[in-house]
Amino acid sequence: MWSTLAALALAAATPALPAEDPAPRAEDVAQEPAAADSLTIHAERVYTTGGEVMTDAVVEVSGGKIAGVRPGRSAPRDAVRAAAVTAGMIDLSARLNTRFYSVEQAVEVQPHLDVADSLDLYDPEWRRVARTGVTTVLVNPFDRNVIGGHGAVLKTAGQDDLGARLVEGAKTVIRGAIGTEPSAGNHPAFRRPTDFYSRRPTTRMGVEWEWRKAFFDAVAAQRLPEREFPGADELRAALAGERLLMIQAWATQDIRTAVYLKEEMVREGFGELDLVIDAAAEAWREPALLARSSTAVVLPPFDDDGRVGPDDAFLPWNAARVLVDAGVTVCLSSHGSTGAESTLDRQAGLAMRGGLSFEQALAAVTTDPARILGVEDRVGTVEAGKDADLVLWNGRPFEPTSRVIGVVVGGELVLDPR
Amino acid sequence: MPTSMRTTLTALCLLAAPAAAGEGPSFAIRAARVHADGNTLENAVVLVRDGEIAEVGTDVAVPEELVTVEHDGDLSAGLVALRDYSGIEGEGRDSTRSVLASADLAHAFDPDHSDMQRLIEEGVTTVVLVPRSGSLVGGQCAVVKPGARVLRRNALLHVDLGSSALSSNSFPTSYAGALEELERCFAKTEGPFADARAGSLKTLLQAGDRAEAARAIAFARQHGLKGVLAGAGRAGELAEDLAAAGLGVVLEPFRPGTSRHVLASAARLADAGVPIAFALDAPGDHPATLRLTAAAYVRAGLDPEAARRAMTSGAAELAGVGDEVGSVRPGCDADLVLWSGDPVDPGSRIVAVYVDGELVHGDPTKEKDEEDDDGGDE
Repeated sequence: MWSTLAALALAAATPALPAEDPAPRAEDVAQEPAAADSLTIHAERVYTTGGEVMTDAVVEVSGGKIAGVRPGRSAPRDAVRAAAVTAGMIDLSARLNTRFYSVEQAVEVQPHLDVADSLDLYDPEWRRVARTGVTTVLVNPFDRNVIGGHGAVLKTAGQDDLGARLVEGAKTVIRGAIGTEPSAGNHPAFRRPTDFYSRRPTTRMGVEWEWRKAFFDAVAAQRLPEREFPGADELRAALAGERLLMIQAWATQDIRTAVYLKEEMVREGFGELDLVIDAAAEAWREPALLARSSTAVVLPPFDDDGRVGPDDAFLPWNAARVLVDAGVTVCLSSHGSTGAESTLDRQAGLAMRGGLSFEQALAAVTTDPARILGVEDRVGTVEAGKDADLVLWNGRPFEPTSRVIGVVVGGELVLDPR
Repeated sequence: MPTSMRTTLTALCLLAAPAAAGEGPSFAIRAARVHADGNTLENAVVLVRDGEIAEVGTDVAVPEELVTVEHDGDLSAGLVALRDYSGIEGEGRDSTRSVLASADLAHAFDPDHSDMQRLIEEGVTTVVLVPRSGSLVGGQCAVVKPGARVLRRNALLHVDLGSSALSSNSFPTSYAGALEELERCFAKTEGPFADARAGSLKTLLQAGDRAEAARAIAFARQHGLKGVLAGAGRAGELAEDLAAAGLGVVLEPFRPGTSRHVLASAARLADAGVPIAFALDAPGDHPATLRLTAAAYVRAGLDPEAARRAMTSGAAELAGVGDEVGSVRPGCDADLVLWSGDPVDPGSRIVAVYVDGELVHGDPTKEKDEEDDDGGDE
């Protein structure tokens, strides 16, 4: 159907061009017949990259990639229309399929196990998330372990095959947590030990101890091979900067602990961790510390009374602004919440209300997370050659009066505005 | 047939039963339709000698001294259920360990348990006893004949790749941990896991949903495992992968609320050439569920002949006992069921059941089942 209509459009377009238009555009349009999996989107504003906007533009999609962005005066009549188009949004804390089965709790430190083994791509939740405009997600093991294992970077829609959905070239992520969550299921040994939860850590002190022990033991095992344990090589890779280490830490004290951990590893000569802190609600209290240690943060959704997370951390409306002004890379997330106001587009709007400029808010949900994951050459902007992950809006993005009306993932129209 | 002749035949049956000088019964049955090895023969004769099927055909010469039972209906092999818990009660799983590969379900088999007679009354003459869910590797399945004997021990190695193998307070608590443990097991160079990799021991892979089934299929291909996938109702949507992996599928029993997607699976698998069988979770499910399950899948599009095969020879072959039971074929045990109509028609009645040639239920000479016991109010 597309090829027929596109061919008709091409036939109609050529004679309709005004004489003073440069010929190359007509040639570009006329030469190649549209492929069967192609899509044409016309928007009043296309937010291409950085702060740039193209007005009255057309985005051509073909073969799952963005073929090009061009002025839209000759857009075919069957083009999908929107008021605005941005790149697909990226959620570093989507928590899809992140249930108890996604983390192996037999041992608190499992850096080598993979959340991909527990993903259910048939879950309708993926489609729901895709339709909110989130096209790429980082999924992590449930935060019941001190170190839960590998996360997975994948597209929210596409084939049901895991191999096809994983984003190639993304950094390998190791996920862990600092605070009360990892110790929540454990209890001291003086109770009747009916299961393996009679163990440490039972406090956040114990959790920090587990982190430091894991790294020290991993480094020691390099010199003393008999001390090798499962996952030690993953920790050493993290120290070598070959892994993205994502630590969940809501409260100020836990955020500090995470950064101090990174600084201690540098001081000891073990290596520099590539650290990003998830659910860093109180990061706004330590912007200088985060900036000097080059630690990026992911913020959880804003809440009415400012209290978020298991530790009732305080997240003010201007948290993102404070951090961005201090030079900290900030990403927004839904943190698995399914509420209508927790979606990334709403979060970006709230961050703007808290002081972020539009460009900064857009970066916080597109280019910054893409760069953190190491996939900025594939996603995050609307440019030729990148994956066709797009969000269509019925107004200016992130405004409370605007809505996501269309979503394209890998060239497939997951949410159709028509 | 006139009643007087039928009565005479009954008398002759009773007198003539141990006529042959062998180990088991010898007689013949002529039925209006005989479902034999993929064909339905009209007005054919099955000749039984010493409890085994000797000949099947439309022009079998029955020796004079043997009785011929006349049946105006269908004859099929006894039904074979590929997953059952009859008679096991609490013995189906050792919960102290998640992996107990050499546990033998045959030790839990009680041929005289009351569950067994109920199976026979519904025409189920062979079942595969499977470990109860909860273990990562529960043991090895046993193929047994209710009321009779163990047909084959160590028929299938049970491996659970679903959430039923995961626990909240013992290892493994996660899919990743379970897979890591299974990799450790299958790296062993001897024992049941090594046999499974070598192909001498088939596996029963348990999975709950499509994602788990996809992982199970990938695991089987990675380790060269052969056998069946059980527990995934919508396995039909993975038909191509299953066919490529050379795995069979055990279809879930029909229950009220079984979705149309699950019911459509059977036809899709059959079309893709994937061998299928039915599960019967007796005694939790009534043994009649086996043929009602077949009927439900037929109604959803499964070919009736494929359904008949799935509940008899198909199941037997997947369990590794296809040469002994499940078919009306010379050399097979005389496990036969006489029906008033097509076995996959839920309206059909079971008239008689034979195991190893012995009449164990019903009476082919009677028009209707006459109740021997009161039965109770259910």
